[in-house]
Amino acid sequence: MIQLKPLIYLFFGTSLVLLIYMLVILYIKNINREKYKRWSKICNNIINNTVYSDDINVKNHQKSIESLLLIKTFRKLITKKILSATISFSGNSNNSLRKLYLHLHLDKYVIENLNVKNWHIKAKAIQEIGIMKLESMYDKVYKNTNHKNELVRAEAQIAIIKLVGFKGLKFLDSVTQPISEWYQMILLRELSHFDYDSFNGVDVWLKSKNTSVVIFALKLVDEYHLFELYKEVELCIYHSDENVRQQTIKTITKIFNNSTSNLFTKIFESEVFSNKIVIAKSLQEIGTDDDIPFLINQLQTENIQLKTVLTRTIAKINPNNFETICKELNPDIYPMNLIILQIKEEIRI
Amino acid sequence: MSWQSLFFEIFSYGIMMYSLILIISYIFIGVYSIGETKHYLNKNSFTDYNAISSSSKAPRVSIIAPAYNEGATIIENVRSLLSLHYNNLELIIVNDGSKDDSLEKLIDKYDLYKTSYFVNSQIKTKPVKGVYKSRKLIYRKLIVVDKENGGKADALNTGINISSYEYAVCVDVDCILEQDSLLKLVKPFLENTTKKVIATGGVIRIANSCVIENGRLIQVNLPKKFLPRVQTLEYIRAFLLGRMAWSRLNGLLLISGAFGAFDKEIAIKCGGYDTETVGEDIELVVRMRRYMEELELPYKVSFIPDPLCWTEAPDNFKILGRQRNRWTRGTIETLKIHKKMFFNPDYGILGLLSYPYWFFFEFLAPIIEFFGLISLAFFAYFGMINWTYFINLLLMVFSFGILYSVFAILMEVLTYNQYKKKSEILKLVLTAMLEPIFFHPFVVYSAIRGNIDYLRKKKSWGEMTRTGFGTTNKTPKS
Repeated sequence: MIQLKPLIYLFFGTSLVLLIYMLVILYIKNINREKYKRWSKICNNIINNTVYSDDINVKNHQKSIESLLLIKTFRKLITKKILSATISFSGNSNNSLRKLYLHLHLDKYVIENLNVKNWHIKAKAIQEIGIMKLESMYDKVYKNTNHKNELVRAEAQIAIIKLVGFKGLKFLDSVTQPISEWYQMILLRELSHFDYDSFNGVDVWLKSKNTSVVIFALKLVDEYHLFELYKEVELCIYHSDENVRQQTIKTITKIFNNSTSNLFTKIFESEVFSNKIVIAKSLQEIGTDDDIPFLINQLQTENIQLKTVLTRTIAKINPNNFETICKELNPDIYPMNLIILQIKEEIRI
Repeated sequence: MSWQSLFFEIFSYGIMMYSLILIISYIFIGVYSIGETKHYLNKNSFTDYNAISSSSKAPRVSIIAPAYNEGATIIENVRSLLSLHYNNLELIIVNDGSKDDSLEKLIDKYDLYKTSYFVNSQIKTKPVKGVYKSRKLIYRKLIVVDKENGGKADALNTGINISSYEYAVCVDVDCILEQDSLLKLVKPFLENTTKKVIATGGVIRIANSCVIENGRLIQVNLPKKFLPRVQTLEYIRAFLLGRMAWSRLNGLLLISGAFGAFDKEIAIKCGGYDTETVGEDIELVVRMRRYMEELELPYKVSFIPDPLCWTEAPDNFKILGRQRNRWTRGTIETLKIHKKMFFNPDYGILGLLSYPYWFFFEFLAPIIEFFGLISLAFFAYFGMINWTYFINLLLMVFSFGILYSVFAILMEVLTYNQYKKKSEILKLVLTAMLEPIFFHPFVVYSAIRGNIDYLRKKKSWGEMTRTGFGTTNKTPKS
């Protein structure tokens, strides 16, 4: 028989220890909450003075909190507050906040954090460098743009864009690790804060072995309407990865020319279902009357979802003539009768 | 040795071994969840969700909320869902043949008109009577579907058929969602580069006694009544420890029906929710996982520890009993449908770990406990019990139960700390001590009833009466 008493003592004892630990934590948290309230007030005053007064007496601020700056948690708090204010403000206020940050020597700690092995501290430091635009640390950050940890790598890529704008995209030349869809969205948002500056390399990125780089390059072409890259983009429509092909269809729709709809009708048959839907939707934007016979032909598909999208495409290409075209679409046979009814209502709206 | 003694020895050792394995797996779950929660919190600490909420590039999400006889609160509930911070969103309310005035209220409030909407029934459902949209531009995200009654799963399938976006978020219409809940739920779909995320879920918390104002959670309070409070503790344990650990193992089987997101394409390919089971939420996740395993596609079911959704817990034994009865039947039905995976190495972690765990420790646990009690009476009658040892065994199990609960409360304090007052934490600890005496036996009883009802082929959900949030604006719910 197993001796149970030691186990009972162990479980009850550990419960008691955990309970005491929990109460101590709660007590400390409550004390800290009060302390943070006080500190928050001090930080807010400094930040408000920096942002709203013309005369920034940074040295005075530094003196008033000199002793507090030696406390790690206070430093963390004021850094957090300055970072959040820097994100919210632009122009002169933004510059003043950066000045405040540098005068408080908070950059000294960011370098320390950048060199630690702990990924989240490192990633946070990189984020800080980006927000505070610490350009002198460009090289150190750039080194991390292909870091094996996704978060470190992503924050480094974002920070590089924050530091040098479109030029920072050169990390795409060498990045071998994937860039997630989430971070692609963030990168595009960061770029939108800069005035569009022509940038080189997209043609190379479109041929990258890293499919996420190809997709991101296609999104860049889409976002900045890089019509001159039409031919290079067109080649991506034959890429082996279906996600790349899907993004290519979306992108090429934005920079389309007279031959685009022909290209779409040519590849339609061989495409996977999800891409067929994207093509049909793209033709709603760029299709012409010439494409209608092709679309009517495709309506023979058994797939009702595709049928609906194709019918909508026909209607959108030529809404005025849709009533006449309907006669060719088996308007009395299910499900076309119901689909046509829905599309007609959509056009009316 | 007599046959009675032999049977007694085998039985005792069997129960002992089972308890030890159960305790070891709980210890493993508790410890293993720490890493996942820590990783998530570290990662989340510098994620800017606001950047995406208003972006037109954010993934498109269809919220599907089935409603049955929700007339008393439907307007408030829809308003709450419409106010979520998210740009690319459509909200589909499926009126599942309500007998009350839910539909009329919606038509009236949101100025709805019946459209000529063609429903592409990719998943078979009960007939749709009408699809309504609003004439007002501000409610353009709203779609109301009126259909014949077919149950929750059927209503959700109808919503999936109607939805035009890539991700389907299925919610209980009376849940209170955090403003950024959609962003947090959708993010895992976009950040995984090596595995396809097929479903995500977040933590469900108990809203009883919380202050709700205009469909928003204003103040978190610990439930005043014992039953909701003990469920609060149960949910903390299940979500903060259990699901985080299973998520880390990529073995999660359950995304709560109250709030979960799915890759719509995969959900449709799997045939949508099973209308023949009362555990449609767990069954769909298991089926989607099985589908991915059979196609040998890399995938993940993701779970995040943020409290995203607040729901009202049953506050009387009658309703609670129905809920637990249904959960038991849902588990049995799901395990039966997918019995092929039991210890089947072709299904990896799913077949070798997740399924057996659910079988032995979710399905069998109450049965073993129940028969343990009967055997105890039997052995006691024949004077075969070593009472000192028995009491020690009982104390050991009791002390471990308390330890596990205290650990879960500690994790809550260290992470989200929703209950900030010392008195609330002490009440939770006290609840943990009372739970095995006043709550757990009832849960076992309900599970046994669930087993019996399953054998009797009972298929009903059982009525779930709720007080509702809409009627108690600005006042704490008790």
